[in-house]
Amino acid sequence: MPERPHSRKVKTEEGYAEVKKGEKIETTVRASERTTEEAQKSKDRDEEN
Amino acid sequence: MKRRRMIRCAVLAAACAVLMLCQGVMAKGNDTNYSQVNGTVASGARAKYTKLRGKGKDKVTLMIYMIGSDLESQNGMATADLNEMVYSGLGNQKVNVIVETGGCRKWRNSLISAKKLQRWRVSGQGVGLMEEKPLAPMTEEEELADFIRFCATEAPADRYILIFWDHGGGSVSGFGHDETYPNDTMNIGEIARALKKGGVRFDFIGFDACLMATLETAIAIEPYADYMIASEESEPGTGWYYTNWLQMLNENSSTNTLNLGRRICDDFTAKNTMYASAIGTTLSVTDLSELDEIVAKRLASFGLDLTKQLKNKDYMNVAKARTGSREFASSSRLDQIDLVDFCNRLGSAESSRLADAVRSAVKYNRVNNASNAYGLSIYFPNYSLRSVNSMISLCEDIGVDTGWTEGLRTYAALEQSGQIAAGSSQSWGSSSGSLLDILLGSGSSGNGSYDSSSTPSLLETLFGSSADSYTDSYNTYDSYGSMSESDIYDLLSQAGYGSSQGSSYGSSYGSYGSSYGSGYGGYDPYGPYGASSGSLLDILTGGYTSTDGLYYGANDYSSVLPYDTMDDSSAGGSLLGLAADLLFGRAPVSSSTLTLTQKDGKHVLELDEEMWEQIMAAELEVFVDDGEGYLDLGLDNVLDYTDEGDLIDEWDGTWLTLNGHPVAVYPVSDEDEDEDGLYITTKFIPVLLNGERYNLLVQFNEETGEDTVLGAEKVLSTGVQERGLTQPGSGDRIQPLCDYITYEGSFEGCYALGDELTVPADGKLTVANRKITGGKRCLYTVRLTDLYQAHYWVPALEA
Repeated sequence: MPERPHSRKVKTEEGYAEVKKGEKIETTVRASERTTEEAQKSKDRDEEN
Repeated sequence: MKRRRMIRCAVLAAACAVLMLCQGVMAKGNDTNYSQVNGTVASGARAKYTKLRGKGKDKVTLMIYMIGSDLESQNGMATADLNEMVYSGLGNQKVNVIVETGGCRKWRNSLISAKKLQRWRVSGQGVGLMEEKPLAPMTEEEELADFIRFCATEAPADRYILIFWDHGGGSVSGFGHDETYPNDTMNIGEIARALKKGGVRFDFIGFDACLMATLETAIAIEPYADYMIASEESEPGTGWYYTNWLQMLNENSSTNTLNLGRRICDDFTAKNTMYASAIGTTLSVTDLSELDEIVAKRLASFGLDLTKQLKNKDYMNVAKARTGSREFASSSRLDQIDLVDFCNRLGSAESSRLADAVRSAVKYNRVNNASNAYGLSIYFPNYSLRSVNSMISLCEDIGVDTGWTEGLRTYAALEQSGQIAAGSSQSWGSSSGSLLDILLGSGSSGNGSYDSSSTPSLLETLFGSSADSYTDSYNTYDSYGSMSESDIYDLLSQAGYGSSQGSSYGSSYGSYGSSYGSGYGGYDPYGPYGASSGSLLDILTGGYTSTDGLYYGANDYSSVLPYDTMDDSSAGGSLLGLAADLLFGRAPVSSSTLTLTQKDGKHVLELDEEMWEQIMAAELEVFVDDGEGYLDLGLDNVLDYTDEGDLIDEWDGTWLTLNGHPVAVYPVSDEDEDEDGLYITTKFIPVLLNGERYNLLVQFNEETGEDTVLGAEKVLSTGVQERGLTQPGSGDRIQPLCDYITYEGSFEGCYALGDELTVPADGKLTVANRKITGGKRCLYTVRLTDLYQAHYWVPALEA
């Protein structure tokens, strides 16, 4: 097969996991953000939009 | 002719000899550990500043600048290290160890005050107070300079050593997190100025801190020290081990510096392997006397050669080498990579010469669970362009040759241009072709609200029927051909790029107007402020705003661009023209080309090989619609391909869980290799750990699927790297988090995802995929990332 981006092997286990929304969390750093700098960038973008 | 050939051969032979020596002291294969110290000095190195008298006659003053931070207040790490120093049994009258303490809200001992800066003499009997002063920021250069002068006055010596103790953030973020004055660090330029003001030349300078073994740090401190001991990677919280090497010094104050360095590196590696073997560690000893004449000059040549490569439209080769290079503190996106690894991947003559010089200058290197770490790292932008301008300014501040900074600038400009041309954005509610469009199934306006009459994507604008040919004041261009600067400015303004740079920063840019800005959503291509702004124009043209408010750049290329750029025959004779040539000469990846077909009952994405060559990552992204909005479960690189190389866009309905609890997950890196050369994927899971915001780091072996929970990483407000990972233990509470997106496409907030879990008594955290339930429906898509770090999404499917 030609070279493609890396994929990881999935390990699956029995059982189910329920996805549900819980309480809102007060945080300046979103779940998708790693650093406070990224958080600031998001804030700047939101203000601009 | 004959004589020139002989000299060239002699140089080549010498280079080979150095390389062979380096390889001889290194272990075999991919292992970058040194089996012994490299005691040679390269020809052309300067003389050492410190000349030891020998035979135990040397007076030594060891200065330790100890910013306690949360390392001490939370975990007592500074107290532990002070105890290690005392346990060495210091009693040699010729050896003075002086520590300055501060920067900590609470010291975990009964001696040190959190309300003052204090200076202590450390001996085998304990610590004795020498001086105290009012609390002040320890990240101020004057405070460090004052400490150095104090030590040199109180304990004049033949041999001085300085250790920086605290968090570190590499070349981008600098050193130090003062808990009592938390919003600042000491950047490398400030460190150099403090050393100059201190008026002392050191035998070695060490950083018992994360990420400080960078070439930029080495260049900055070279005028003030003979050796640097520091770590490329983050350090575990336990840091260095002080007892043994201080004992060596105590027994013989003339101990050879490289032997001391070896002891420091070996003990650090052993100690941290014992406590946390899954976490990689690095520590190296660099001979700074080889920096100026050899390494720095080769860096400049390498930078110039890189610029030439990029101008020869070889961005792809450079981007692949960069993306594949060993990266440090990946989750913080500091864009700090191992320099030798990068050079090796590029494989050019100039990169090889630089790699040889660096490997010669690194006299000892110890790593654990860290592949391709050769001892010195460097900043090279890739995942984030936010630090480009500040790093170029820093390089100028510390005297790095402009040959190198030109290479940085050129690469960053091309990457940025590629992102803009793609019209992609990582934010919600961006221009069409965005994630929002994928979820909502149609175009949307750029401000987060759904609008069926969408703005065409930049590529649609470029390659649509309106772009047959056009003439501007410079040239006439064919469709899909090169574009003028004014066309690119128009594109930038259509994309709305730059307004985030301008909006909050006032009008300090002076009298030149915003003719491009008005009517374009506030975009001002000149930016509101100069080189420090990070505006695209600054990056592209190397322009800057002087203190008189005049912008030097777009209309005055001769003042900012090298002469050979002016002579460049590509369109416009400028970097912008080069960007246009490069970008619009390539096969475009755009949302319109990302259509799915069916093969053997599965949805597949077929792209030609030229496009696949541009794709660096492909990740499954899953959203759960709960009837009011979308829970974003993040991104996982779990996709398969057909034998022909088509991407299979199918989802098996499972997602990552932590002890059975569903989690959101995001990528950190997928280019690292373990010691056996197998690829490792690292990801982070956003959580609250006992109520505080952390990211749990997990590594997956791509071949075997084995996973390792590395620990939890806290992010500090100054951007320096947390030293060490917190290991969740029995009874700790972990609440997974996720982002929540409204149906209108706005980020609504960060929410708890599912129930909180408690770490069981055995401390085991298991990650595995499970079938997920809940919500009204699930949508999944694939996010592709190209070599410009631009993102594209395929049409979303409902599970």
